[in-house]
Amino acid sequence: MKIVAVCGFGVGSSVIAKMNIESILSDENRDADAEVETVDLGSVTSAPADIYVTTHELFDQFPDDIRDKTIVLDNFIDKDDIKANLDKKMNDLGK
Amino acid sequence: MKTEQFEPRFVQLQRHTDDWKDALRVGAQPLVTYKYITSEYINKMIAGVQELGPYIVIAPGIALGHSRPDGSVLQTGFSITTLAEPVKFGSQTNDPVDIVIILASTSNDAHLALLQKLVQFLGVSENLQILRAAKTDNDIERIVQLINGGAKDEGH
Repeated sequence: MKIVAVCGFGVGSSVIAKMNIESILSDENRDADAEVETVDLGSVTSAPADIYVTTHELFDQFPDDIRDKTIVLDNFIDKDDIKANLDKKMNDLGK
Repeated sequence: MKTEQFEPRFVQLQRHTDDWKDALRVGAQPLVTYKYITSEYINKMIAGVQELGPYIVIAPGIALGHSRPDGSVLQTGFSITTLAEPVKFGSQTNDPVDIVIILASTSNDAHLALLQKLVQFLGVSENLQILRAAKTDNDIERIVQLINGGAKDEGH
């Protein structure tokens, strides 16, 4: 499974999301079968993934065909909140 | 390679700002003073928000100002500033902001060790309470200690 975190420049909020997602997956003992990457908004179409993670503001600019696979986070630092969103999306997608 | 440590000179408490742009300028000041960034980096952060929206408000009350690695970044680091009066960035869910973090990195991965410390610090809600209530130099020392070595579950 591949997860891509998306932010404006690919160096700030998306990296924080990546660190927290990796920590969550590690806690769930799922880190071996998941890979987390970061990209900037402009590169999202050339970064195929099973799940995308981003913010409200950037989601508005997402291509239609990946919206169903996208988690929109209000809070990039609250691991409990990220975990709830991530677990639900993985469940929805049968991952 | 020396271990990267966060330093007290990059913490500012209870600063007064006019609006979100001023908050980014004030928040970035230690990084300008100690020659981590040029003032051009501040303009780029502001332009980034104007272009892409206030997505840098990454959690309730917390803005992570940053731009991409380029010639306006001289050294990798970050600063933390608490605001006396919260300001609005235009975030749907996370306004108003009372903690401004400015992050600068010389490359796409130069900041990862420091950022990991920051993420662990911010991930503990008790730490955010300590930061928001902080007023003195002793408080700054405590915050710096929490960032550098405070990861309770890792013991380093």
